[in-house]
Amino acid sequence: MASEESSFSTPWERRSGFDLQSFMNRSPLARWLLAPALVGLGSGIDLLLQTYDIRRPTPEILLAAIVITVWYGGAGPGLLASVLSVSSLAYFFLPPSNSFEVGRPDLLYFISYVCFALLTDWFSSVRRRTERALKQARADLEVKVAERTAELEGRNQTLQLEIAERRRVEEELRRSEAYLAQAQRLSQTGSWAWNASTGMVTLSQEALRIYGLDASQASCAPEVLLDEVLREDRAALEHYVTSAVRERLDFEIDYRIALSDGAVRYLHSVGRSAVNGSREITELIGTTIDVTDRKLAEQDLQEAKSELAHVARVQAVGELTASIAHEINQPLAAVVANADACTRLLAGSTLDMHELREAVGDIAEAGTRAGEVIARVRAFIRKAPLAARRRVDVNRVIEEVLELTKSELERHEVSVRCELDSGIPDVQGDRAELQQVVLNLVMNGIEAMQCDTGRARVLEISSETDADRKAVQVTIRDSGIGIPAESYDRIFDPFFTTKSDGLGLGLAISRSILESHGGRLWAPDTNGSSGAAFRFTLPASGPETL
Amino acid sequence: MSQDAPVVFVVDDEKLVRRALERLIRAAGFEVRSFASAQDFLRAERPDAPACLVLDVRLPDLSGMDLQQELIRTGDELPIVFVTGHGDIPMTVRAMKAGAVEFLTKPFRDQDLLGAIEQGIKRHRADRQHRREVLALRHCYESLTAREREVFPLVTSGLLNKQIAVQLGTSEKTIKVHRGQVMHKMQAASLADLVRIGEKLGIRRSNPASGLSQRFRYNHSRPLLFKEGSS
Repeated sequence: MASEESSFSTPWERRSGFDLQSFMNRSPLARWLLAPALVGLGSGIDLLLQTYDIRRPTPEILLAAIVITVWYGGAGPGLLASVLSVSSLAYFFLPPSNSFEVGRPDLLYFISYVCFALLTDWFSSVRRRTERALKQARADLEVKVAERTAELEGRNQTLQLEIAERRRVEEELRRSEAYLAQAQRLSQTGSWAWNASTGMVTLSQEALRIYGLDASQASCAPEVLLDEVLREDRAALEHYVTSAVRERLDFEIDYRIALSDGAVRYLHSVGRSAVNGSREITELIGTTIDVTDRKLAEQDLQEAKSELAHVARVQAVGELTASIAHEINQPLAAVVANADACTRLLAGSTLDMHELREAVGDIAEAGTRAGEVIARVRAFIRKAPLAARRRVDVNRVIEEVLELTKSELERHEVSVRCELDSGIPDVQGDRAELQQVVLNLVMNGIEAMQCDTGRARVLEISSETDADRKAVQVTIRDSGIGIPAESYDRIFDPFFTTKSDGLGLGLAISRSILESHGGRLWAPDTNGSSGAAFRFTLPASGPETL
Repeated sequence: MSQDAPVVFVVDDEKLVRRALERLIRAAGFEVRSFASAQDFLRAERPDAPACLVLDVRLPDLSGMDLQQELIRTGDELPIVFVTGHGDIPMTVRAMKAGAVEFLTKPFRDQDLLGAIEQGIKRHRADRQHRREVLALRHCYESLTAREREVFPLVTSGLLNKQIAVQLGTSEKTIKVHRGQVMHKMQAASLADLVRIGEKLGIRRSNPASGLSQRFRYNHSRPLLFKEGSS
């Protein structure tokens, strides 16, 4: 309160920090003592002035004592001060001195003084009360204002906080939007939403970029997007999405689009349908990723792999030179021997036309045979163009490889036991690459049986299909030394080899070839029987593909 | 079948090659018999005639090399001309060491093959002749008595009757009779003839049953020292 009352304090009080008023308010005794003290002081000063004859006694000082007492002590002490000052006047200053008697000549003056003192007391009291009331009112007002101010300030603060919060949230939202846009840009993932009621698709900035559309098409009809899809992918996409909408299922699909500049993009879209309470579709929300770079990288990788496979194939043929030479020399020997026989027959006295005709027929057959061997080798080492996938009969592949390795098998005294299921479905693949896999496994088998194990060298090859004809499985088992346990986990690693002259790529390449065909290659447990086994599967080509 | 009409056997699993070889060899004037596998050849009955085997190295199951070993094991002296689509040096060396006539790589010139066949037949003919002779001599040898068989190596060693008599602890006269019997039964015209016959039959070496010949051979190298000590 002191601070609010300070405006009504004397300058001295303000300076000294001592609040006489409040002190008086607190102590009633001080209030009452104030009256005799001030009146005594006033009387003392007057007496002093009178004693030294400076001037005649003045009652103003006593009046001032009343005013001050009323001001600080209130009405009661004021009245006491009035009585005391009147008494003091009558006693000290009005003749006869030092007696309360008042002489007749001074009676009027005395009465007027008493009246004056009472008036002073009264005015001062009224004034003090007014002042007090005013002060109280001001103080109340002050309190109210302070309360209001505090309230306002509080509200203001809340508002400020709210504003700051909102600004922060807005900032965060903006940042998160920027992040999202950035993330979409970086991951080349656009988002979109199709609204069932309006039938329009809303696209994110990145989605617009992916589809090569400008910002004005941020909300467009689905046909705008569908028009960009490559003709060969369009029907499948349409069918897939409409059925997903009908079944209220999520969908995921790969397709390609052609931009206006002719560039083709590979896209991967994932969609999810949002349904309302009555299981009606309200929205289709999804993302579209531009996987062109990845697809192209995959293609590059595939090309590199096929290049490597080709190199390995050429190398494999290199290893087979002896056998191939044998395969070609065999019919050549027949040609030469038949020709020599013909020469001798023609030199004879009688011509055995039947024998000659047969000899010439055999020459032609042998020539064709040699040509076939060369064609087979050429077909095997030819560089397979990508996507040269067509229907392949795996049994035929196995037979071709066995033809190619026939003399190799004979040379190493390996007998082959074939159990090929003629009912297996075709697979979709590259003939040369699949031949390479089989050749690699056959050659590995031959090599594994080189160490003398005392067992017959038998290479078992079997082909079969699973119950629902979804895949073809081929197993190649040898009776050789088997796979050492310590290298079992590493045999498919590139550059891992147990041979002194091997590159260690055969199995790695074989596995990569099979994987690129959607198949698998592994070494099944031989259950303790001797030798090693390798098994691969290939998915059967569907009836719809040609 | 004429004793001297030679036969050529061809074993090759490749039908085209087999037929071509058959045709060529027949055109060269030989009688040909061909087989698709080594087993077929082993099972077949062979005529008693000079022959030669044209054999492919690589055959299913029993290879050409295996067949060669099998023939050696059974004491068959049939000469072999190997033919192969791709022969390596170790294989050639192995075949030749085991007594093959020739090792030809397909395709080959007809004169090489026919020359080798002729060489093979010649060798077989000589072998057959030799064997026939040995057989006849063995027959004669079997007619000798135990004593005469004892006398035989001592005679061919060049000992005098007297020395032989001392060796066997009998009289010189008896030895003379035995010697005459040996010469007669072995149809030897002279001592030199008998020595040659002895060599053909391997008497000096292949008669371990007689401890005498062993001992004598030892004495022969140092006759003076052991003359008295033996009995």
